[in-house]
Amino acid sequence: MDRLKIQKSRLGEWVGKLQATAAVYAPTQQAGITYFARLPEGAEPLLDYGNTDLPAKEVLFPQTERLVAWERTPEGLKVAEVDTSEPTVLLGVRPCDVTGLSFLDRAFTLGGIEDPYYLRRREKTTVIALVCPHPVPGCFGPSVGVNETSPEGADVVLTDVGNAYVVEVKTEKGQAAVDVARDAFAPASEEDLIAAREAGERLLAELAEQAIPMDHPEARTQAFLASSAWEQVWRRCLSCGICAFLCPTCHCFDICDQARRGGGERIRCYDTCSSRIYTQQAGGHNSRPTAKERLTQRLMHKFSYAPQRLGGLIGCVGCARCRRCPVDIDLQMALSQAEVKEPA
Amino acid sequence: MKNPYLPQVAVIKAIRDEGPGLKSFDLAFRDDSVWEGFRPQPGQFVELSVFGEGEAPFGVATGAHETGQLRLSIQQVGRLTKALHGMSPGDEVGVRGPFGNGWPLEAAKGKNLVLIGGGIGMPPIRSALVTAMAQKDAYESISLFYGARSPEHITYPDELQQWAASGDANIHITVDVGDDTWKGHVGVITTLLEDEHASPRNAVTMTCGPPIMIHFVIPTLAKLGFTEEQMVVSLEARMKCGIGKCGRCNVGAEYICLDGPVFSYDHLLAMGVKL
Repeated sequence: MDRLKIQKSRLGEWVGKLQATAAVYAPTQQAGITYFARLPEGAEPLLDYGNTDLPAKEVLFPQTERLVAWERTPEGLKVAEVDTSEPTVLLGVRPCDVTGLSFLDRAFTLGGIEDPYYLRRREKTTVIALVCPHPVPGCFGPSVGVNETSPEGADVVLTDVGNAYVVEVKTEKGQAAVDVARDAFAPASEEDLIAAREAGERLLAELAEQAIPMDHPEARTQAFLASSAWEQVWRRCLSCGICAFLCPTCHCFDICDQARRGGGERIRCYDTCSSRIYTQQAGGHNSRPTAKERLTQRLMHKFSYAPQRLGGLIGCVGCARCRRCPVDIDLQMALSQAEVKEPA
Repeated sequence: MKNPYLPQVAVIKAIRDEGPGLKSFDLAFRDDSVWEGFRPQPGQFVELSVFGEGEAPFGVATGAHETGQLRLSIQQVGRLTKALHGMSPGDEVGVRGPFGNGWPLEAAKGKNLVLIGGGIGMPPIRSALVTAMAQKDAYESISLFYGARSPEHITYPDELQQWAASGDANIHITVDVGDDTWKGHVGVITTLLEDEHASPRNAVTMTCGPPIMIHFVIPTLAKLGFTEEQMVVSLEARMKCGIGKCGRCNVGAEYICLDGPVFSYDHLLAMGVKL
């Protein structure tokens, strides 16, 4: 597909045209937190930032969403699905979060059963990725296989080359997104393409200094769980669940009802395997009673179960957001330090 | 896109007291045509909605040949089940499913079918039992080993008598603690299996009950000579979605809701799961 460029001064024009056809979500800063929010008309997207504090998954898999609404009528219960999906553009998504969406694409179709709420949004969403202009501190995306310069799952990839972005159109959806403001784009020159390639190479060279050993992730997980360091880690866990909100691949949820007079709504909201009541049954039995079983599940899901079920994808994209753990549990660092015997 | 989260409205047709805090609910879909695409198999489960309280998973008690109505036998334990126990015939609930794989009753044909149920684990066992009894000639024999806390806690007491009287199945019952009227076996289910000399010859066992019961039944079966391939168990979890998405019910890399709830024990052991 096309290789184009757009001057940064004309980005607003493109975004304005996109907003005429879709809800555009871009990084926004509020109260010191950066996250993807719907860009108001005429507002400039914030693209020069480290990485959003909260992952882009929130737009496609919101923290809370309505699944079903019901009404009590004289004819009986009326139950209907809720569909809030709409044409959407995700602008400025970093390669780690794009890779996270590819993970969710598979998780929400696991076993051949489609999750209509996620997939309807996903199908209507165009992902415009932005190659990180500067390496995000702690990022170890390349160590877990993230393509930092042209991530799988993106429809368009922007690379910052100074006054302009070089634009890689990867899919037909991406082509349609570019076509809404064709005048704002020019063909990329040979020089532009060299500049974009060099920007990518520079980024990868800088990220190489942050690389951590993450080869054989399942063997590393097993080795860590068998090590003396493990007990120090799980005993510290507060079971607060903040890691699940920050992780681009976490997708566990709870379903509950909100009733009002004459009807109500069924809601799903993020839930986390680190929570004690997550597996607590009404009769009292809990298959994961302590942080030890719960964190084991977290690690094994990301590095053993997910790759077994989702065609080899591990549940880590190297964004390092989970290092914001309030008690400094850094599972990836722990795994990178685990002593692994080379599998025969 | 088909929406697996959308419940179908069902009407409570009948409610029967089955013991202390336990009721059976016979449900029919408000729209009759739903049943055709529904048809639960023994061992599968449904997500039951009590609108305003939420949803919870329950094993189906209905046999494969008992069409048109869905029976669920439900203990009053938490918020949802309390609301359900307060409902009356004619009231409406929601049903999603059926979910999961079900008992391997086809593969068990030609064998001695040994069903082992404990406490509120009986509904899926009932489903397997009545389904097998309806084609009893396909099995070498059908046996039920059932343990309840006390005589008054015995689930399906009338049906148990009918099943025993029919001669189509060998019915063995024990209670943990007897009373003045109880003339039968007293002791936990493992003692019943041993005292009745449950035999592994050409047999397959299917067990459903609380985790603590399964934990003790497995070594007892091993002692009696059953292999791990002959031990089939139904597991439970706090399943919310029923379709392998919400993440609660992992056992190893598998999901109880999607790949289970029925597993053979050798398969669980291969995944590193010990019960």
